[in-house]
Amino acid sequence: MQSMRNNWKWLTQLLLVALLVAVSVGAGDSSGRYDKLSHQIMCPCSCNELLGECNHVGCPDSDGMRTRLLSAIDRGDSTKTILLAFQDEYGPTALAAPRFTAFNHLAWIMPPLLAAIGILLVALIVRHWKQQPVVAAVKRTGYTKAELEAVRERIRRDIDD
Amino acid sequence: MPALGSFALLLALVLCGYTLVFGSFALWRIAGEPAGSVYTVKMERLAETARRAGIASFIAVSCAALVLVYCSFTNDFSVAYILHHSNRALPTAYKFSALWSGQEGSLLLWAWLLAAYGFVLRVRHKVDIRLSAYASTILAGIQVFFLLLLNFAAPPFALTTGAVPADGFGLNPLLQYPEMVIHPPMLYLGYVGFAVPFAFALGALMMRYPGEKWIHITRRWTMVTWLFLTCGIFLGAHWAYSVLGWGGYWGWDPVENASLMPWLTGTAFLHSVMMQEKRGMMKSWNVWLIFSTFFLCILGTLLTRSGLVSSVHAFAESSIGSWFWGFLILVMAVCLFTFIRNRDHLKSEHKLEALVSRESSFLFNNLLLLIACCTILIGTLFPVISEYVQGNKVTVGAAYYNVIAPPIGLALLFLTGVGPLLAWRSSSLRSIRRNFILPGVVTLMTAALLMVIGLRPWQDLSYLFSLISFSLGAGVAVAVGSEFLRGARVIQVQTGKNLFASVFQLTRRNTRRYGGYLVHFGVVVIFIGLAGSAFNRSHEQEMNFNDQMKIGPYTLICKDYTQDSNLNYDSEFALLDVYRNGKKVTQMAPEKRFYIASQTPSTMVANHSTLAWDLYVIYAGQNPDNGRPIIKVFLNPLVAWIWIGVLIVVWGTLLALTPNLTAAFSARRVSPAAAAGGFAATAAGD
Repeated sequence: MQSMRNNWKWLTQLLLVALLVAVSVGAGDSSGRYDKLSHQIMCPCSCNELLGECNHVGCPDSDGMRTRLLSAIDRGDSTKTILLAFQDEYGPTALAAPRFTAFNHLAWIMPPLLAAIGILLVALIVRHWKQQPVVAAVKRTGYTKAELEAVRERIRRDIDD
Repeated sequence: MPALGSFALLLALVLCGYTLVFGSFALWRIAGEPAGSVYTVKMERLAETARRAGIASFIAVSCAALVLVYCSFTNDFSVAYILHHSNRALPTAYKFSALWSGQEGSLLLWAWLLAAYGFVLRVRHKVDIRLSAYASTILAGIQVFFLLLLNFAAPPFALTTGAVPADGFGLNPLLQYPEMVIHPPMLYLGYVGFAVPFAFALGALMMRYPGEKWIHITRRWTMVTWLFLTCGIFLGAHWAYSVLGWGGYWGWDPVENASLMPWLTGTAFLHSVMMQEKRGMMKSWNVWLIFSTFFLCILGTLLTRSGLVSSVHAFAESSIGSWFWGFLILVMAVCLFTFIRNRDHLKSEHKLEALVSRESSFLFNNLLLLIACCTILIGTLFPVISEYVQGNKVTVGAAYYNVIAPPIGLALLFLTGVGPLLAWRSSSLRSIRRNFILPGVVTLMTAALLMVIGLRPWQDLSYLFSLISFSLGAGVAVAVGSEFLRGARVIQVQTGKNLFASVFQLTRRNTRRYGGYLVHFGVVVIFIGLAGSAFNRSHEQEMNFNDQMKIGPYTLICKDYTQDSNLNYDSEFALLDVYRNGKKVTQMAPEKRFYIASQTPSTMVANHSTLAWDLYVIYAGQNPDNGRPIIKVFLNPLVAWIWIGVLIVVWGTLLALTPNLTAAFSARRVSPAAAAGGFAATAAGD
């Protein structure tokens, strides 16, 4: 028992040291801003591709947009300013994800909200199951409970051996 | 020939109409009569004629499909569909794929596959005669809808107006790729296939079918269908990766999403039916899961056809969306009505005994799959809703899904490892400790190791997702491996065989269980491949003769660039020698084609794939000033793992579909007389 505890202690210390080394080695890198922003803007040439991925020869829009994006980054514009400028010029579909209006924020809120509701529902279902008495017998024609149990037993064997 | 095709479709409609109307009438009458009475026997005969009409409809639809293929092969441009989707210079394999390259043809493919599934179901009706009759009638109802479309809204044999041109307009260049010969049929086999478990579920509910035997009957149908849909989705991803030339395999296009949604609910169904099979729980939930899966299949087809959302699949767009809306609403109403009428039949027979159990892991698995499905549905329909509410469309693309989807996916990956380690009913603390220590330690050690070697999760969200994905993947792989090892060791002790032979025997003893584990392992491998996308790199450069381009460990040298031409297309391509550590690895030839008949360009990607990364090269175009090629290169890590993972998933599913070794021996031991008696009893009991 004592040796197991010692092993755990040793393992925890090792992980802690590894984590500290990893964190201390890390350094910030902001060079990917262009790459990041070009993947938040759509190419408006109806190719349905992100600005950073549009590869059409002679695309009427993407080259000019990339140049504008680069100069905005060089000027030090904030992300919001850059995205709003593109939205003003090319319309709301120029942004690759919904932003900036209360309704658009719904798209971001809905999934976690759904998750929260789902977890709540599961909790309620579990509670309901725990409180409800088991249905005593299966009221059906043709098959008896013993037959149903036999089928289930076979399936149980299939699954669990 | 077009007249024969039209006649075959009309005949198929009449035959399916007969199956639907007289099949329904016979089943309705039989339900109210005592078994064995003269009237019941009469009605059973009527039901039998309905079944045979259903079988005949398969022959009629097959005839129509064959006629369309024949018209394509013989360049019969008097048929408007062939004129618009084929041309004389089109290679033979693509003449065959012209069948599903447009609206009318793909609807005919739907109808033919549905007829084929119906044919198998009707021929194998002795599995359960009454339930099969219900399912057959429901399938006929679905088939009637598609045949109505084919006869009146989107006829594939409509004739060309005016003079018949000497050559056709050609096939969409994006579809002229080998995978396109197999991807749509696979996807359609998946979409259409879910109609069968749907029909069985609805039929079982209508007739208040006793017990869970219907699930046992449809298990193979559901798994085969799920397998087809899985293959279809990943073939589509591979096609997008190889043809669209943007360096990725999944663009969250609405039509891609439409295929993923029924896959998610279908996966949830495959898991939660186990709770019904084993414990008689979640009956209503399962019925609604399979209903929803079918609704989503129809919705997917609707999204492609109606132009409701903009997509790269817009080639199939038309005005028949309203037909699909009508059908979807009708099917939903029928399902809701049947459920309300018979919901008392779906009461659970057992309760959940502990929160830490296999049952609860299935509950959470279903919850996550449903959340994923709803999230994708919201994202797909949000532009339409936004236009309605705000007056303008917004884009919901990869920038949205790449933030929202990974946490859900990673939670699912976690459950993939945890679920199988939990026991049914309740897991003891001891078993949890025994099963979870090793995978848990491996997960933490992997995370620590990755950070030590330079993965910085705090620098970018995608790095964080990758770190979790790699670490959890390692933990889940260990969990799956230890399950195999634990069982194999028991067999090894019992039989004295070596470990590999023991693993083989273990797997054959319970194919469903270990096939499932293999599928889970395949999912892990896919996730590792997906996690690699966080480290994608790209570089674009104009290249003259002997110019060099460096990316990662590779050096590309342009040896030549030239043009070529044939009857089908003109092309420009570059020849690039690829070196690694000074040694020539391969030669690549990225290409840009211009298809003559359809007057459209297309990219032919050159890809050098290894386990570590893909060197993915596209011919982006020519500099108009000097004619030099512009080459774009991507270095995409771990992409091959995705395709390997899919192969493992396919292998696992096929394994789960094969009978157990002991069951096969038992079946062989049953005498022919006993087998005949059992067969008769099954038939008589129904």
